[in-house]
Parts: sequence; C-alpha cells; structure tokens
Amino acid sequence: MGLGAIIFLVTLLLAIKRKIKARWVISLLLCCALLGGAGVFCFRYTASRTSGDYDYAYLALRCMEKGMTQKSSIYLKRSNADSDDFYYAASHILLERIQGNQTLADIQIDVLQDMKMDSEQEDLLEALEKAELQSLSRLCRTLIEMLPLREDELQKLEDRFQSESGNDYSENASEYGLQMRINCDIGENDVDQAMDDAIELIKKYPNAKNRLLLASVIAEQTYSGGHISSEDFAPEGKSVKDTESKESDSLRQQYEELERELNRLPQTDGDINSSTNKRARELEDQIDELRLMSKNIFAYRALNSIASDTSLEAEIVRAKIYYAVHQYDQAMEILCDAADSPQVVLSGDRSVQSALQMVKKVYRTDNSVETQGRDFRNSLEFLFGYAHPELMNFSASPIAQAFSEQIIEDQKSYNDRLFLVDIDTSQYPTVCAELAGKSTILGRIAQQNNIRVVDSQQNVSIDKIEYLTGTENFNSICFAVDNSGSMSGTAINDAKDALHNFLDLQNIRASMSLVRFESGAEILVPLTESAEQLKNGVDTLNGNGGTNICAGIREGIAALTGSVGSKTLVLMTDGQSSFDESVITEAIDQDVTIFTIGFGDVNDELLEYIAESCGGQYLRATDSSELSSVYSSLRNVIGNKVTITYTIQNPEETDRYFYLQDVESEMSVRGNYIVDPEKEQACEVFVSEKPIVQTIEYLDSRRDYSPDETFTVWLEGGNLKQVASASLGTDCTILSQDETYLELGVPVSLAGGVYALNLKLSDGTVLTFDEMLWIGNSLDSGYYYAGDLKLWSSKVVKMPDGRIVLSDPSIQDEPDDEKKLQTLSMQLKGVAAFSALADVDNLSLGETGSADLFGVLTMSSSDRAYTYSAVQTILSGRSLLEYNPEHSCVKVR
Amino acid sequence: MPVLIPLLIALALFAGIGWSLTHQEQEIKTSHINLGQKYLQEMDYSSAAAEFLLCLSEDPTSQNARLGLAQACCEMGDIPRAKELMEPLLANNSVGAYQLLVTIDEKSSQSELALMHAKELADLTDNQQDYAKVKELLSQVLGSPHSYDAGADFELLIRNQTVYSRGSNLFGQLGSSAMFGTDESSLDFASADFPGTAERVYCAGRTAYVVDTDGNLWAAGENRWGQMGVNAVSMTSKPGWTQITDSGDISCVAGNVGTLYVMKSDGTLWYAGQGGVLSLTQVKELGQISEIAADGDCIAVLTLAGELYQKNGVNDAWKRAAKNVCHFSLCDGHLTWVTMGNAIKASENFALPKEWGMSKDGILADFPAAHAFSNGSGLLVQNTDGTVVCLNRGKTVQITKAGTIYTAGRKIVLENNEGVFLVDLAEASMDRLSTDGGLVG
Repeated sequence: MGLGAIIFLVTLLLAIKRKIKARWVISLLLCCALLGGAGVFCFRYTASRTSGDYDYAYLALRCMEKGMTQKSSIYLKRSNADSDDFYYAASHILLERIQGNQTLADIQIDVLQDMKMDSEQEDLLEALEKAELQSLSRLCRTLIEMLPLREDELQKLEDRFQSESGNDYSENASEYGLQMRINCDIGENDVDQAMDDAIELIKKYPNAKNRLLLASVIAEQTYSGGHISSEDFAPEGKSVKDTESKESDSLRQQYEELERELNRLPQTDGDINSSTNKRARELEDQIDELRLMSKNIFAYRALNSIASDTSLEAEIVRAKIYYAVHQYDQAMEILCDAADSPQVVLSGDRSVQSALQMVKKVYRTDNSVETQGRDFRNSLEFLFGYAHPELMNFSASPIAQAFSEQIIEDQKSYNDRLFLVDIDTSQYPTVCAELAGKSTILGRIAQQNNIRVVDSQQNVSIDKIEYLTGTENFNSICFAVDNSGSMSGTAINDAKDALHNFLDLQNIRASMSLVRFESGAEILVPLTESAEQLKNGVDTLNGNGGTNICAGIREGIAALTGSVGSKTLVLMTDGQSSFDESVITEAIDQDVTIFTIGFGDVNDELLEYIAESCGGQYLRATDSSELSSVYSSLRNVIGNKVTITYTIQNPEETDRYFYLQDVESEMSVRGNYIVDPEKEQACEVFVSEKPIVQTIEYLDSRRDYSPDETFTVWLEGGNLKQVASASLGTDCTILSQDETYLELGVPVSLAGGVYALNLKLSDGTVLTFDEMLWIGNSLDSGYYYAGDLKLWSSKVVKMPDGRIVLSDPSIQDEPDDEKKLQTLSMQLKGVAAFSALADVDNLSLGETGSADLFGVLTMSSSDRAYTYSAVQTILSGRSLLEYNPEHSCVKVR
Repeated sequence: MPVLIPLLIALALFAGIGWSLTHQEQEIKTSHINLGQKYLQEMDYSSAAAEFLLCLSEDPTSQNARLGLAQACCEMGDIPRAKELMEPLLANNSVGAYQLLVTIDEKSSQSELALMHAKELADLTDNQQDYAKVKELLSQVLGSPHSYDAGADFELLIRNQTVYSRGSNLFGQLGSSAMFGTDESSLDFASADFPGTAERVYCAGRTAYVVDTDGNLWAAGENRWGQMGVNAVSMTSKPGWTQITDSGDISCVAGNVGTLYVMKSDGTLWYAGQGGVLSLTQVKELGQISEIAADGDCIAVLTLAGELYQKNGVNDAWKRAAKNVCHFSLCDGHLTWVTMGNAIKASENFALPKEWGMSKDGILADFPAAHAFSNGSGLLVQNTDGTVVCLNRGKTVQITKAGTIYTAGRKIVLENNEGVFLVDLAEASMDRLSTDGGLVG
C-alpha cells in the first residue's frame, strides 16, 4: 500500500509538472490502484483473522456454564484468537478440564504460566489448576466477569447467547426471528417444523442465504426420512401440481428401461473385462443413480437450487445433502475438494481451513491418528455448522452428528490396513508372499510405487506382482453368524443391522451366502448375487441355542464349495466353544480365507488363531453396537490381494523373514519363515529302526522241516499300508499290514549275514532300511562285560565276519568301589555288535573298545537317573558305544 | 510499455497473494512444528510444548505435533503424560513414537520393556540402527548376575568367580570328585574344582552348568539324555567339568531333568537333551527371546515380541501363556509375569492391600511393577526404581535391600554387591547365603 502511495505521489508530481505523458499517468495510476487494492485486501484479510474482541469467549464461557461443552468448543474455534491471549487460553483450559482432559489442560497451564499476567489472572490460573470438577462452573463465572467487556456489550452478547442457544421465537416473524425458530426446531430435533419454518422463511425472504438454509433443512428432512411434497411449497390456500410424482415416475421409467436393457444382455462368461460385463456395470451404476434420484427428488432439487452458489457454505450444504441421500463418497469428495478451493482460502477463517484440511488428510491418506478424539469430532461438527454460523444447533443436527460419526468410524481401524496372508516357500528359493488390505495401499504396492521389499536384511528384486481387487474380481463370501441364545435381543438386532448396512453399501463384486450357527449350523441362504435375498435370510436370525464355531466354519466352507473367485468366510460370534483343528485344515485345503469378528466374552486367542491360520484377520468389537463399523471396515479389504514373487540370492540361510514397507503411509508388514528342506523331503512311510536277530541254527531247523518255510518278522512304523512288496535279503511275503505294522514272511533259505529291508511302495518308490536283519551262529546267553559295563542278552550270535551281536541287551554299570552305587539301567531294543576280537569264552568284550548299536536305546525305571516324566527313549537309529573302565558313552554316528 | 507495467504488477500481485494464501495454512502448522523442534533442541521444553499445542489445536490429527508434545513432556519429566499422548501414535505404528518410547523406557530403567519396544521398532523399520539398538539392549538385559542356583539335589554358588557346590554328587554334579558316585550329601559349600573363572551358574536336574567370564558353557554331572550337548550320551558318569561351547556367546541356561535350554547373546534359543538331540540345536519357532526359566517339567520362554510361551515336557508343543509380557518368573511351579502395562499376573489369588487394585490383566500395585516373583506363599514385587516389596496376607513389607532378583528352583534369590540372599516370602525376610556353612541371618 505504501509503495502505491509513493508511486501515486510521484505520478501526481510528474503529471503536474507535465514531465510524463498522459498514457503513462494512467498506467502509473492503475498500478497505484492495484497496489492499494492489494494492500487493502491484505489488511482486511489479516484483520479478519484476528479477533479483536471477546464475543466468542463470552459465548463459549456461557455455554460452558450451561454445560453445553460442544457449543462452547465451536465458539472457541470460531474466535481464531491468538494463543497468547490470556482469556481465550484460560477458556480453553477450562473447557479441557470440564471435558476431563487433564493432560492437555495441565500442559496449557504450564505454558500459560510463562506468560506475563496480573495478580488476578495468576489467581485464576492457580484456581484453574487446583479446582475440583464441581467448582469449575464457578470459575466460568469468574472468567466471564474478568473479560474486558463493557456493560452494553455484555447485554448484547447475553441476548445473542439466549437466541443462539434456542429460545422461543415463535411470535417473531422477522427474517432473524424465523431463522432462530429454525435453529430452535433443529435443536429440538423437530425437523418437520424446521421444514415448515424454512419454507415460510424462503417465501417471505427469498435470498441466497435463506435458500441455503432451506437446502440444509431439506437435507435434514431427507436424512430423517421425513416426507416433503410440492404442497408444502404452495402459496397459502392454493394447491400446486404434484410435480414430484411426475418426476419420480419419469425417473422410474428411465431406470426400468435400463433394467430391461441389463436383462437383455447375454449371459456373462466370467471374464470381468469383457465388453458385456463392462456394459452391465455401467448400466448397474446408472440404475442405482436413477433409483436414488427418484427416491430423493427434493434433495436433488435442493442441490439444483444452490447450484449457482459457489460459496464455501454452499459446498458444505451440498456435502450434507449428498450424505443425506447416502452418497457418502460424493459428500467426502466435495469436502476434500473444498479444502483447497479459493473460497476457503479467501474466507480467512483458519478454523474452517484447518477442519477441511484435516478431513482431506484423513480421507485421502492411509495413516491418520487421533481421529477418535474429541478435538477431531469438535472440528467436524464445527465444519458442518459452518454454513449457518449464527444457528448453532446445526453443528449438532442429526446430519452433523451422523456425518461426523461416519468419518470417525471410517478411520477406526478394526483390522490392519495391510497384512501378510501367506508366505509360500514350496518353490524355494523362489518365494511367494501374499498380502491383503486396503486397495489404495495394495495399488501402490502393485505399481511398486515407493515400496521397499526385503528378505532377511537383503533388498530383493521382484520377479512378478499380481494384484486382485475386490471390486474388479469376483468373490464368493459367506457370512457365518452366531445365532446362539447369548445373541438374542440387542446383539442379534445389531448384527442384522450391520449386515443390512454392509449389503447396502458393499461395492464388492460377489455372490454371497448366509450360514447361521448355534449348537449346529445351517445354510440359510445359498450363494446368490441378490442382496435382497440375503437380507431376507438375515431377518430370520433370532438368537437361540449354544455356540458351535466349528459347525459354523464347516457349514460356511460347504456353502462356498464349488463357488468361483476368491472364497471368503466372515464368521461372527459373541461366545466360546470347543474347537476342532481339522476345520482349519479343511478351510486351507478349500482355499477359504476366514475373517473372524468377535465381541463380548469371546475367546480372542482362538478367533485370532482361526483368522491368522486361514489368511484373514480377527476384528474385535467392544460390543454389538460396533458391528456395523466392523463389517463396514471389511468392505475395503475383502478380495483385495497382492502376490509378490521373488527369488532369494542367498538361499543357504533357512531362518528368514519377509518385510515390505509402503514408504508413503509408513506401513509395513513382516513375516518370519523357516525353510526346512528336510521336512519338505521327509518320507511319509517309515519303519522304526529296531533290527531283528535270527540264529542260523533256528533257520536250519526250519529248513529241515521244509525248504519253503518262512519265519515271521514283525515291523512297526507309519503309513505302511502303502507298501506293495518287501524284501529282506530275498523277496518276502506280506502276511498282513496296516498303517502302523507290516508282518512279513521271510524265507528260511537265507544264509548268515546282515540284510537290508527294501520296501516298494504302491507308487513305485523303493525305500531301503539298512542292517535290519542279522543272522549268525548262536552263542551262550548271559552277562557280558565291556569296560565298566555289564550287558545281558537272551540271544547272542556270532556273525560270519566274527562280530558278536547281542539282541535287545540290557545294560548296567559295574562300580569299581564298594562305596559307589550302581546307577545305570538301560535297554537297547535292537542289536549291539561288538568287534570280532572279543573274548567270548570268558564272556568278556574287553576293558576298552567300542560297539555299533542299532535300534532304540531306552532308560529303565531302575536307573538312578530315571524320572517318571522324562522321555524314556534316549536315542534311536545307529550309534557307537565307547567303553573303558572309567567311563562309557554312546555317540551318534 | 505503459500497458505492460500495470498488467505485470497485477499478475505478480495475483500470483503472490494466491501463493501466500494457499500456503499460509500449511506454513502456520509447519512453523509451529519447526519452532517446537527448535525449542526442543534448545531445551526450552515449555515453549516447545506451547508450539506443539498450538499446532494440535489447529489440527488434532497432526502426528508430528503430538510426537513433539510427547517429547517435550518426557523431557520435562512427565513420563505418564508423554505415554498418554503417544498412545494413538503407537496404535498407528509411528516410528517416531516407538523411538521415543524406547528412550522413555531406558530413562525409567525398564530395560526389558525398552528391549521389547526396540524389537517392535526394528520389526517396523527393518533398519540396521534399530537392530543394533536391540542388540545393545539385549546385552543389558542378559548381563544380570546369576551367582546361585539349586537343582534336584544340589546347589551351586559363585564367590569371587569361584564355583562352590554342595549336595549329592552321585553323577558328579558337584563338579568335584568328593563323594562322587555315592549316596552321601555334603551340607557345606565346597569348591567345585571349576577350572575357569565363573560368571553365572545354573542347575538343571542333576546337571551343573557354568557360564564362564568368556561366555563359554561348561557342564558337570548327569548326561543320560545327552543334555550336555556334547554329541554323546554318558552311560556312566565321571567327576569333572566338560567344556560344551567355545563360541563365547552363551548368556543364560535353563533346564530340567534331561533337557538343556541355552540362550545365546543374540537372543536365539538352543536345545539339547531328551528326544535324541545330542548337540545344541537352535529352536527356531519362537524367534528371538529375552528370558528363559525352567522348573519341574515346565520350561517357559519370553520372546522379544512380549509373548510368554511354556511347555511341559519335551514332547509338549509350545503354548502361548500370555501376550504383552515384559518379565516373568517361574518358581516352584508358579508362573508369574508382569505385563507391559505393569500389571502382575500370578497363578494364585492374593489378598491385596487397599492401595492396590485389579485389572483384567492382573494385579496393579500402587507403583509401577517391573518384576514379580511368587512361590505360592507370597508375592515379591520389584518397582521400576529397583525397590522391592513383599506382599503377604494382604500386607506389604518393604525389603530393605535392592538388587537383581531371580528364582532358583523353589527359592527366590536377591543378589547384589553384598552377596546372595534367599528371600523367605512367608516371613518377608532374607538370609544371606555364605560359602562357609549355609545361611547367615
């Protein structure tokens, strides 16, 4: 502005002295005008941002005094006062304290204490810090009395407070009076009366402001389901044409025509990208829109009536109207767009700017905090009341409250917005990680947009990413609902409402089914694409009987059997029940993802386990009233999956983890996994490693009887029914077999030696178990001594290679001192083979030496180390016994 | 030219005002946060709090302002307020909030809690610095002393890095050859003939374990199931010590008859013993852990994720006993733990003084509990400031001594620079354990 003035003076001087031409004078004067104008704008803008008075402080404190904390908060927001203003700061502290937010109040008091204050202010601050809750109202009065306001100002403000807080204006037909009457009607939740008053107002004072007010009231009336007709708008005593019926009929005809076109479309082939399917989706969208318009003619008329109004207030009313007709996304888009509009910038109102920016932030980003807090709610309600600042009750109207609640609920995360479903290592070192979650985040991941993927501290390069979204791909969803006795009453009604709400708003391409479970389970509605059919099924739920979660899951899996697309089971329960692990296996085998929802006295661990095992999530609600939000939060998650495939560069390390971070939202997922190649290759068929000893003398005696004789060998193991044939030195006959045993007939023609067992399975695989049959010449049974050990066996043989073999020996120690106790008592189920040098004649196996042990080494109850609860099997398989006079031990070979 | 100048000025004004108005709102917020950060750096915490508060009043969803305010509160010593402010940030997995939480935990000397939060942070960020922090905190947690332990029929005690033992020596569990292989039992502590310098001692069944000052593990006594982890089953015993590891990374040991669980300094769990596991083999299913304890047939493990697992017997599967646990103890069959919210969960009910309360997570003392121990006859609770209180029959008795508390079989042990003390919960008293003749009242 100063620059403008200087240019003006210089121009004037030059013009008087005729130093410059006329066109330059005009040009410079224009510049002055521009600079001056800009200066005035900036001055007024700045002035509008700073509150020069304490009007709002007074109104806020009066509201606090009356216990109207929400209104009080809105007045304080409107003030745009500087933080270093004592009275506003003290009012804020008082409000925090009244609302029970001691933490913030204390911090603000700390901050305020650093400011310069007079003694009265200091006293008040001290009182604010120490006052009990009951005496806070008295402090409101003290603070009001301290406000630097004149008597006449106080009187005016008191009048304003009385009118804005909803005093009766029924006799006052002035424009202001009618507006206040509407305010009062809204405050009393009498929307019908508000509608009548708004119509009266617009008839008498038809201006833009009142049109906006009428649009707001129509939004409230539409939201509350009230009836509006053309008659209401007719001049007194006259009737008007029923235009809404005509319009409604016309819209109905239009959507019925579209429905017919939809029905005429050929049957879909399952390809969602086919032109037929695309056209079907377009038609469905158009039909939905026309249906909505035909149901809400006056809401759309209200939108038209304010269409030319480009003010910020009109944008907010538009958002409210869209919300009233259940166009939530549209309403949110309007608010988000308004956040950056020139109107909001020029309004100079910091509070509304902040509120809109905040709404935009929470709606368009994935990572917001403290949206459940009171401050956030206050900001939203302030925003919805912004269109009619003098009519305070619009801040707490049904729409303002419901819309605020919806935004808050939308931010409530019952489930993780990104979670790991599965890590598949079957193709290791190629790993396949499956993620699920909110489509916005998955979209970024699919585009590899600002994401970090790590496997065990090494960045990985992705081989392939596949992205499936719930809206583009077909899903089959089954809702398994707990219908037990504990659900009867409010809970089951809440569950029904929640499901109805889900079905009304769901945007997933899906066929759905409904299962109810109590002591048993039943498919109420088989898979259908008709939401109405499902709703009818939901309405039959009544709450009766016990709770059998397994039955619910089983029936849910059955309902999804044979369905197309991703299969999802959403199980909701409020109770506890026994659990059979096999349902998890069944769900995994059938590729069914299970989401569990629990509230009340549920077994959280179990529900979490079921969900995590089946690639879903557990969503915990505090009580049944939250079910609607919980189901709603699933809308953005079901069917959305990203599969990332990558190859590991250092596959040697088997204890690994997968990590992915979405840098934009700072969200990350991590999953540990262990690669166990042995486990992958583990053979299902096995034989317990207990070799069998047979004497040549016995075989000879049987051979003498008949050369075709066989002796029986009994083998224990697992999955032995798969064995098709067996050989033990020579082909054997399978005498009998089951999963756990195999009885073989072994020909007596076998010569002395050690033989392996070969099992040929039905799939052609041959399994070999070495050194399973030992045949040798019989020796005396009895105690044999080896170092400090004493062994006893009832069957001892000498092998053709000279080794001495003890069958099923028991092992004890031989103390070298009388004072020492005998401590050892073990049993080997199998054979102990000592080297050929043993002095068999003296039953001595040597002072020092070793022996091969084959079989299972167990501890006997007479062992000094024996403990009842310990596993008595010490070793199984092949091992090496080393012995000497001081110490003996067994090592694994 | 005369036409151009006003046009240019008009253009510049429009652009300038437009830009300024559009960015003003954001700038106001940013300037509050920047100023707040500046004040934090200058240690002017109340001014910093004021700036962050201003930003929050404009935008209650601002994460940076909330975090800054929490930091200011923390610096001003108001930890509860800082934690309260951080709750929504933590629920939102804010990295900054976890970093601050770790700092707060460290400041309040809650190493176990700091470790768990640092682990959560590392899991969130997969950042090398955060892993290093976990390692540092883990070494702090594992560095606590363990100079006494009691097994099935013997005891071990360290004095001046020398191991002493008493009790039965049937399998050589006393380490020395005195009364080896006999059913006699010594009443006084005598040298265990340990060849190295001992740091910690542990008893598992009838096997003695010593972690030396180099972090290596030694064992003596019974090895019937291969529980020494030396790839062999001892059929007959001999006196003397066997060195099991030479990697210098052993932190803690726990075990029962026939089993050995070893925790290494990197938080990994290893096992040997029953089930034919003759050499130490890593137990991978639980991930990194911070504590292990054994008693009877039960073995309990606390993971860095704050999950408490237990199993009874080697064939049992690991079962999760609790979540959000920052410390636990196992004594005479009584599993007791302290949650991250300082609630104490014990396996039996105790009469509580009126100042104490109950929550769904357990008992809430009138001070923040860090550790809790119970053997059924009472409850010993250690405050985060190190002080110890004994709860018995509804009354609390302050224990005059402070130090590291741990369990040893059926006993609760308090250890500090003065020595090793056995705590009698029933009497709320302590006796010093001396190497020459048992207890000193």
